[in-house]
Amino acid sequence: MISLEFSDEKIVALCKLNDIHGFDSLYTKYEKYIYKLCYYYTNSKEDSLDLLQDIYIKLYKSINNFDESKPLIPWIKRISINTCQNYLRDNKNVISASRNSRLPDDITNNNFSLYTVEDEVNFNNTKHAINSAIKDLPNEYKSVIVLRHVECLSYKEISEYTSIPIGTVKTYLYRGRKLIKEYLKKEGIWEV
Amino acid sequence: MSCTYYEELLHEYLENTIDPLEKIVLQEHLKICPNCRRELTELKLLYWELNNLPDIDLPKEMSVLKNSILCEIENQENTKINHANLNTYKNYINLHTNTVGVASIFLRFIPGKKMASSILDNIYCSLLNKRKKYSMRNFL
Repeated sequence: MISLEFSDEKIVALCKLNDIHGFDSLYTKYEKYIYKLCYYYTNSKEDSLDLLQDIYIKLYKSINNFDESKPLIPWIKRISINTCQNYLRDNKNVISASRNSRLPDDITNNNFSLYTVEDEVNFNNTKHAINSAIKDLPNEYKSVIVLRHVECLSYKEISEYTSIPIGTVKTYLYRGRKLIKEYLKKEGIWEV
Repeated sequence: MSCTYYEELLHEYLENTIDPLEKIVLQEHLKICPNCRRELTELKLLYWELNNLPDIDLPKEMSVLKNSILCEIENQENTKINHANLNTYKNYINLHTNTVGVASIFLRFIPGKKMASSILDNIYCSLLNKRKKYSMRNFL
C-alpha cells in the first residue's frame, strides 16, 4: 500500500493542506493501533467502530492545531485515550448493568443455544479468558490495566492521561490484576 | 500472617520500580514465605500474559467507515471552497437581482409608489441582463 510509505511529517503536511490522501494515509497507518485500544476499552466491535469514527473526526478537526515540531504518535495517543476515557465515563451505567446481568446461571437456561462449539473452545483459551476478565473489570481498573499493558504507559503517563494520582494508579493496577487472576482461577484457566 | 504489604511490593518488584532497600526486605521475606513465593510465580505468569495480549483482528467494516469519513471530509472541504467563493462578482449580481426583484413586487402593493416601483423594475431588468451576460461568459 502506498500510504504506508509516507512518513509522519509528510502525512501531517498533507493533512494540514486538507489533502484527502493525507487523511487516508493517517487513518490507514494508525487504524490498527487505534482500533486495538478502542477494542480493549469497549470489548465490542460496534462500540469500537463508533469510537474509531469519533477519533477519526477529532483527528481531522484538530490537525491544524498540531505542532509539527512534536512527534505525531503521542498526539494520536492522547486524542484516542481521551475519547476512550470519555466513553467509559459516559457509559458507566450501561457497562455495569451488562456486567451485572452476566450471571453464571445464564449458560444453563435458554441462552445456552447461543454458545457454539467454537465459543467453548475459545473460552478455554487463556487469551480469550484474559480479554473477558479485562472486560468485566470495573471501569477505573480497566482503563489503568489497558493503559499499562496494552499501551505500555508508565505510572506517570497513566496518571497524566486519567488525572488519577500515581498512588491510586498503582492501587488500581494492583487490584485490577488481582481480579484478573481470580477470574482466571474461577474459570478454571489456571489450576488452583 | 498477613502479607498484604509484601503483595504490593511484588508488583513494584515485577514492574522494576521497587526501592533497593525494599527489594532486600522482600527477598528476605520470600525466603521464608511460601505463599508469597507462589504469589510471585502467579504474578509473573499474569504479567507475561498481559504483556503479550493478542492483536485484534480488524473488522471488514473498517474500510467502509474510513471511506465514509474521507467522503465527508471531501464534502466539507468542497463546501469550504464554495464559501470562499461567496464574495465573487457573480454572487453579488445574483444576490442583488433577487433582492431588487422582490422589492419591486413589494412596492407595487403600496399606493402612490408607482414611480419607485417602475425605477426598481428597470434596475431589476438591467441586473437580469447583466446576470445573463455574466453566466454566458462563464459558460464560454
